Amino acid sequence: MPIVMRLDVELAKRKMSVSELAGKVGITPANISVLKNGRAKAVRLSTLDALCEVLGCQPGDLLEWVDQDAFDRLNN
Amino acid sequence: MKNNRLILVVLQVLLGCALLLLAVFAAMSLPGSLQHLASESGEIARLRWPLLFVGEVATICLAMVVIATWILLRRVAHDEVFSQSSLRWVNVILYSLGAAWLIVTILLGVATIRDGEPGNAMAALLIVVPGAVLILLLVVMRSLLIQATDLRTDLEGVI
Repeated sequence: MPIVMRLDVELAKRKMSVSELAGKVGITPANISVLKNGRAKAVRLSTLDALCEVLGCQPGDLLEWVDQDAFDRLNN
Repeated sequence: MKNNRLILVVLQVLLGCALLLLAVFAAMSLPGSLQHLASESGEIARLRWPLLFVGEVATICLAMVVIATWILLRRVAHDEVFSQSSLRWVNVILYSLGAAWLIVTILLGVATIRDGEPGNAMAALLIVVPGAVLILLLVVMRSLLIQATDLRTDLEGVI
């Protein structure tokens, strides 16, 4: 899906690990990986709300639309 | 939720009873009835073994329906019913019921034509038509299960 979640950038800014983020947000580390790798088909607003609260950012900081070619390059 | 569990338990008990009744029918009632009819009618005597075979096949089909329904009820109880494997058991129910219906329809049709009694024809229709309705209803329910399974799969993909 051509909407990617820039979790790496936000995690690096806050020096937070994936497992720490998963624990605070209330989803599994596996699902955090799915979000990071752009394999998620859909995200609940409640999950996005929790991510923004934990990371102290806006949804626009996390979500970015890329075209299909860029998306394929990201995943290969 | 508690009422659903109670209904599931009652259904499983009734299915167990149905399976037992089918076993008794296949082992004793059907052979016994055909033996009695054969002793009274030469025509039936000639057809005794083919009729027994066909009757046993229909009974086995109905037993498969009962067993597959039992398995699906267990999957409902464990919240595992929305899956591809459940669809296979629904197919077992459909095909088994369809085969049993076909056998009964042919037997009743032949008996009604040979008999020529309008009352018997009406009785046969009262068995055949509701049977067809039940099978077609199951086809619709199968489509609903497929849709529900797809929706459940999509929902599980939402993070």
